[in-house]
Amino acid sequence: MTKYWKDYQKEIAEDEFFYVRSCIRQNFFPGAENLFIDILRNKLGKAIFEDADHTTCTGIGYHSDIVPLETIMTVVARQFALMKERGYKNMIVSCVTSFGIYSEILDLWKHDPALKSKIEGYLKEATGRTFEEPGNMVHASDILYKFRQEIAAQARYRLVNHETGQPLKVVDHIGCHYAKTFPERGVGGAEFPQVLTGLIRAWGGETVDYPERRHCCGFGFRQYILQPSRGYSISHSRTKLESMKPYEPDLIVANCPGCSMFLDRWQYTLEETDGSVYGPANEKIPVLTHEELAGLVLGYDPWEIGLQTHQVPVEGLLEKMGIPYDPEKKYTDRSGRVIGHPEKIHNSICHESR
Amino acid sequence: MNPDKQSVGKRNTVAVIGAGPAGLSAASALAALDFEVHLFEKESREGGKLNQYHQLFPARESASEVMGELLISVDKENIIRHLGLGVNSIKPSDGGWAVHHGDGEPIRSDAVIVATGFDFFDARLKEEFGYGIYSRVITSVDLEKKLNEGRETLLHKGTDPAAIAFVHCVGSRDEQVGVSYCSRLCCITGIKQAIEMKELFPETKVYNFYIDMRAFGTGYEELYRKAQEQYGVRFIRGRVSEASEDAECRIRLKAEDTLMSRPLKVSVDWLVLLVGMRPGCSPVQTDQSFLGSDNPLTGNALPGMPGVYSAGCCSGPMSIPESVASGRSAAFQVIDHLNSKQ
Amino acid sequence: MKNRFGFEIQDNRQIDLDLADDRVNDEVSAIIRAWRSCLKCGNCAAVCPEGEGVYKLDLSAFLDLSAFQKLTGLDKCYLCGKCQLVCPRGIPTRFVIMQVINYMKEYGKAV
Repeated sequence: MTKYWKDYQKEIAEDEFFYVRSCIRQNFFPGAENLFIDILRNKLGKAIFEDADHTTCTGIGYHSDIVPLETIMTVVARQFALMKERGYKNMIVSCVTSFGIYSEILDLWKHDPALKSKIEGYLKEATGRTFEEPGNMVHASDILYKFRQEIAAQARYRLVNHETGQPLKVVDHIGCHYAKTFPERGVGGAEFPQVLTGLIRAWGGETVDYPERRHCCGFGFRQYILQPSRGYSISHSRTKLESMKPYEPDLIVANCPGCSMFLDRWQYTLEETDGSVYGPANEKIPVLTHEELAGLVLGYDPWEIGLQTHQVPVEGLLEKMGIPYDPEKKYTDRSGRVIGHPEKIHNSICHESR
Repeated sequence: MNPDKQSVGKRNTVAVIGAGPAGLSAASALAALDFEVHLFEKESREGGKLNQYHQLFPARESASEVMGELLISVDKENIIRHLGLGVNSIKPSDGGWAVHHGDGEPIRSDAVIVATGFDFFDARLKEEFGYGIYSRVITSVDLEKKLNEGRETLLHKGTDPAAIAFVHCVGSRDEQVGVSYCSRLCCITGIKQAIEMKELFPETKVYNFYIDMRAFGTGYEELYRKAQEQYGVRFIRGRVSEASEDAECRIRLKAEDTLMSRPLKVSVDWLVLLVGMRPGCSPVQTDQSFLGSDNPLTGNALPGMPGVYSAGCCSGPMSIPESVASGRSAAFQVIDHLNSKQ
Repeated sequence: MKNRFGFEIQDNRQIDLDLADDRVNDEVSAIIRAWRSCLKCGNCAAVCPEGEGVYKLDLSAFLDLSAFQKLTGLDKCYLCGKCQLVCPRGIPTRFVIMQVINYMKEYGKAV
């Protein structure tokens, strides 16, 4: 029987996970990873462990031509070594770029065992450690996809406008390194990935299929990092935002932390540059990561999960979903002390609607 | 002609498997020489893929008229038609072949012509074009059907399409779907259908996205030029990378214009995929591949199967006239084979 | 133009066929029907002493007619006619060039 990529399901482990963090996610979305761990432990009852000795995968450095391939392979080998030492076989990767790195390296080693031996040698010499390849290696959004029905069962809020009863229109954006390099590593393959659409539909929302859905957000590392080419990176985010505008989305969710950061931040920058706004009613479109989406649906407090750090304010979305929030507590810490207010969230260009 | 050799027909039975253009012409040729012909067809009626077409290239003959002529040619009492009956296998039997079908005792025949035809490439495998996902993405085969059904089937809410795009080489010359060969006839199909669209909708913009234009046959290049000059069809060299739907349910294409060295985008009302020709299932082999020949330059004898010949597209992409000629050629080779056995 | 953060956000160099300005192309084609049969084979460019190609006059690739003239080198042509000698479609290319120049003037963009 003919099989089509969009129906493709990959193997995702059930339990006993070794979690590796993301540089960008924990810096730009500081609550997200703790939230993910909390959801897995306390809502889904899974065993998830993160090793205090684990490091960045150095993907940013590698993609910016600063870290050579052999170095990153040795760093990755060390991550695998830590996993082995702790007795885990199933890896959850928080960052999509990391996920791409691990996939690429495992693929390289599969085709070139001599290269793998070389790395084994390097790791041994540098750290005295030996490693094993993970039995199952998936991205964090895959885990939420696998347990989306369990999460739906415990959901306190749904992706529905609680006043009108209409499902929220959600744009899902998948990081390029999730499935475009190795389609067999992505649920639904490269063209029509299903990992986020599965979540959105299970939690009551409606997905938006817009023409530039498959377009890269433009992050690109070496382009974005250098100011002369930063505009080129941002032009891709603009292409996406312009394309989704006619559909009046209520929300964007992205599984890659870089993409989430891009789509969140550049709405501000684009408005500063030429006054463009891409959301309905002349507002910006809130951007959430997949775990933040799960967190809101499960009823976590928006400020405790770090949504105040987003460039695009999320209050509009919270109101649509009927999620209560305390505006006073937005910029306070747990002890009630004010941590400071951002100088400016809204753009210098005023809009009548505000 | 040697009268002994000529009388070979009256004493012999030949099985023809498949009643498409090749099978029909083979059966007709054999029947004209007094053979008893058993013509098997797994579908409920004869004609094969010819039933799905509207007009043929390059001269725009009506497919149904050509069909009619072929059917008349097999309206002979020595052709026994077995419609709705597929052949499962053929086995050597008593110097000839036993044709095993789904309905009773196998039929013994002195020779067999396999004319089982081809399948169209499953366009859903080229995911990026969205066939089976977006309603305005159709194949060239779907378009032939719409042309047969009438102009209204191409309207959207009563309005004429503003733009139509054709993509060449869908499922041909493409390692990503495991098809390395060229299906030969899709380019001329694209040219013909582009002209047909312009005739129905003169104001509509028609774009053909190609890699190479293969207009090799008699009259093909002239039709290509006519499409450009007389009808204003725009041929753009470059692949379409993806098709997606916009807010009005039109299809938005991204492509490369390699001759201008720039990426390109266009919105169309119909995206037509020119699907390639894949080998069909035939009872003489277990895998699905085009049938080979003992002596490819001069004949269609199947290797290792004396008295069995291929005709038509089961051995490779062919046009209707090529299939018809192939059928007659196979018939002649059968006669020659049986003569030499005497 | 740089924004206040110090960088410029590039425009897409994608040809948007939906916005293509076909006016000049249509009018030239109405006079010289054979123009539409151009294959962009490049024979004209290969023989052109200025190294330009008549095929680049495919105007619908360009949305802004004022930029067009600079891009195609139309001003360099001195009508030697070598392109017309070799065109496999038999297009009267000198005539095409002259027509395009006429229409560009008409639309206010002088050559």
